[in-house]
Amino acid sequence: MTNNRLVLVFAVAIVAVLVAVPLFGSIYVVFLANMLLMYAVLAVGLDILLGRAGQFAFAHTAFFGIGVYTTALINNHTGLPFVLTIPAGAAVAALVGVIIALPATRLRHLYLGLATFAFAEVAHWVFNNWESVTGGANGLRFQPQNTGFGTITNDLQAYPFVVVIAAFMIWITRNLERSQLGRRMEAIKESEAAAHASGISVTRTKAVAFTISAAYAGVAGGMYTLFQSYVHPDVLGFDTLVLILSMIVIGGLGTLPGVLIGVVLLGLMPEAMRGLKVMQELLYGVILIAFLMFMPRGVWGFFGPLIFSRSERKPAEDKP
Amino acid sequence: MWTLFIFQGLAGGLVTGSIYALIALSLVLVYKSTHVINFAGGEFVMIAAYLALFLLVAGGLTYWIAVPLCAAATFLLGAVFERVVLTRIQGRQRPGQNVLVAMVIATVGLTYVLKGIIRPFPYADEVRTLPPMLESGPIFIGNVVITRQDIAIFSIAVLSMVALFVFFQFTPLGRALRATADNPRAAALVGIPVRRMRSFVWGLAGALSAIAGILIAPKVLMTPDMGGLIILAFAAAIIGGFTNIPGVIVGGFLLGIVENIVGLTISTNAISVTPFVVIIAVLLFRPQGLFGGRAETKKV
Amino acid sequence: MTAPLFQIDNLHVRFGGLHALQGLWLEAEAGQIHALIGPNGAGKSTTLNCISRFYNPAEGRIAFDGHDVLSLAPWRIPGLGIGRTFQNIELCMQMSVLENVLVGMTPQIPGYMPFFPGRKRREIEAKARRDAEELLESFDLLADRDTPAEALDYGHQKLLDLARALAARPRLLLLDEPAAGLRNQEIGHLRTVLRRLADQGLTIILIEHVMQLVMGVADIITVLNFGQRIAHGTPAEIREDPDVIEAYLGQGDHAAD
Repeated sequence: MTNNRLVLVFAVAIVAVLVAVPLFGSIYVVFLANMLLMYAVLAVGLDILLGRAGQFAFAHTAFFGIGVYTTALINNHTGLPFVLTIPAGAAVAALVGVIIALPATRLRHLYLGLATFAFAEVAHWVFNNWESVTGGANGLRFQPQNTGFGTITNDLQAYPFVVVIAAFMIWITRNLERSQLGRRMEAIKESEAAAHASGISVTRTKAVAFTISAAYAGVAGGMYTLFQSYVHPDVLGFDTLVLILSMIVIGGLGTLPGVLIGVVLLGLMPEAMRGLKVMQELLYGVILIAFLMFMPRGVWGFFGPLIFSRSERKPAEDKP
Repeated sequence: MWTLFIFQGLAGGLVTGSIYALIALSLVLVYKSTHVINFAGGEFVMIAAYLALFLLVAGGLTYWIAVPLCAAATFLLGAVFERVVLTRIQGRQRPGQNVLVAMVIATVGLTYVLKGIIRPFPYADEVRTLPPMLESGPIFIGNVVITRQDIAIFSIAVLSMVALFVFFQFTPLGRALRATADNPRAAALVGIPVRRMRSFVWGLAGALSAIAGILIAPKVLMTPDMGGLIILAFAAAIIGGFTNIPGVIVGGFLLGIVENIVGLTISTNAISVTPFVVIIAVLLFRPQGLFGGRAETKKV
Repeated sequence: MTAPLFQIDNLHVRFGGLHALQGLWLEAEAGQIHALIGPNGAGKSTTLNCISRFYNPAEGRIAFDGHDVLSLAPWRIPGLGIGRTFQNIELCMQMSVLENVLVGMTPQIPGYMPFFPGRKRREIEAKARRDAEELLESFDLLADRDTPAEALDYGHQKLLDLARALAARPRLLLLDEPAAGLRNQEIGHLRTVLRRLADQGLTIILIEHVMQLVMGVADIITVLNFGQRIAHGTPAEIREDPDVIEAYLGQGDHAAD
């Protein structure tokens, strides 16, 4: 089968699954699908920064939280439709992203990772303690979101919107991949010297990557408010960060199909392990380590080249 | 009143700070030798503390026996993890960025494994603490209170650091380790078994964590999640400039003091966020730490 | 009297206590191939790094086409018309040959419009692709356009580095040891390529140890030793210059032909 046919088959399969879920799945399955779609946006957003631009920054859950609280608060107070509240949440997250990006571009590797991780933890602490705004450790309840034609009151009603938003974000990612901006990001990851010598402002490109990544997290935060009814700061902390990170590393850093595979694998893993309550934590760690040991380039790095052969390009012209 | 706060903070801070310095040292040790950040450092501490609890309470052993046993156990844990998992992830080549990230995430995976191992045990369901090393009984220095235990903790921590220094400067094994950290290829050419050195360093870091764990357990209450204190070690290391050993030690003491002062003057709630704020502040204004230094002629 | 196209004046660079460049001065005109030679550590790469703004000199002026180069950030240099290659071949190894050239064309492709894949963007991208392929064709690399850069052999990687530098259509090209590690045949090819480029009006400043290339292609040679300019002239003059001979003999024989 040619590569293009394979892609078509996979696309059809994915669409089929997406359609089957609300038709044949229980309400819990629909909830799961909503969660996975949200994680997809989160993971893809983080991958833009880590996998494409090569910046190991871990402030993602902070922006996720900002998106959740902003969207929820605007909605709770004004009841504006989600097509306004979610972009608002994303915009605030992106704004904070820009503010963080400016000092962050001065840091590298270890220091960048630690500084951004520290920021995420400070944000987590703020979410937990700023009771007047976020509800603190009691959490924040969401009013049902407005679609412009009515409100969303359950997972099933939220589902089509969640799908559309996720599809849109992934489409944007695809465009980014193939654009000069995407190439600039990859260039600064591969060789900063070559980037400078090619006219790329490494600082600006890093800042753009940061902002875009934060915006994605903000959108995911908005998605969360669509199908959940409240948020507690617990989901905005270190464990979630590790989960998203695991998704992209195990799926395949820097590759869109890989990241999506990672989302499905690690998003469904807690479900698969539901019966083993006590062992969950241990198993999660073991599986994480096992994947890293045996598929260090991720599932996609491992299986991708096997499934999609390279032999189907146009025959190369003979070299003189 | 304020001076009392300062001095009390100073005294208490020196004690906890000495432990932070020790954990930070084990972090930096691993980083300098293998370029890997050991996120599971805190869980090594936790495992050692629980193991000590078991040996002391259920086994009825004394500290003199329990401590070396724990240290040996965590030594093995570190060395085996390095040999089995990390070596495998690294493969044959020098670790590039992606591989290093994978190794770091592997250490994160290890935190879940270690927490997952301890949590099912009946010991872990309540908050515990280790039986005291010495009879308690406060000692007054001026208006400041510390316990005999505190003095013991401080002394042991400092002694460990001195021992470490002696080991690295004056023993053949220590010198071989430094050579490996400095230039693995040259070390291999001279006949140093580089792979074994890496495992040894991880083991050593594990053993250090054990000592730190037993020292800190009386001061923090023991839970399977106590490994979160690794962030304090990170903060200490960053204050010190991460690769500068004396700086890291000073960083540990400084952090302990700052933490105590924050707790006494602002609120206990603010204590948990202090190390993160410190990290951000240092990296924002003086990323090389207090003791790093870098001439800025190069822009790239 | 017109100013030269490119001019370095009184350039001083210090690294801590080391005075790496001491008052270097240099000029180049359009279509000229100007070689910078000297023993290791003489300051040649330092000079190039100052021009491309990777280093900050302590003193001095660098002017290109009337612009003050030292006032610019590194990434603005290609937009000014100055391109460079690297001694260590700084390529984006995981990216394809074509993508590497596209990266080099950054000054010509606006970067901030990925979310609006409209017609204008498609047109710009298509044109960029065509230009890139043309460039690759002239280097015989078109057949490898989709190959990751790391899969090429060393000689082809060096050519790709050169293609990347030329992608932004520079008027001044800085080459850092382009012949290092090349076989004789490849050096001859390089000579032809450089001559052709210079004849089309490109100014080339070239750091090189391989005398076979320097003597065969340079119009003018400047010799550095220990950060100072010790000689200047045509290849014939330099070959006879006693200071140059002494500088090289003092460091071991690099003038292998």
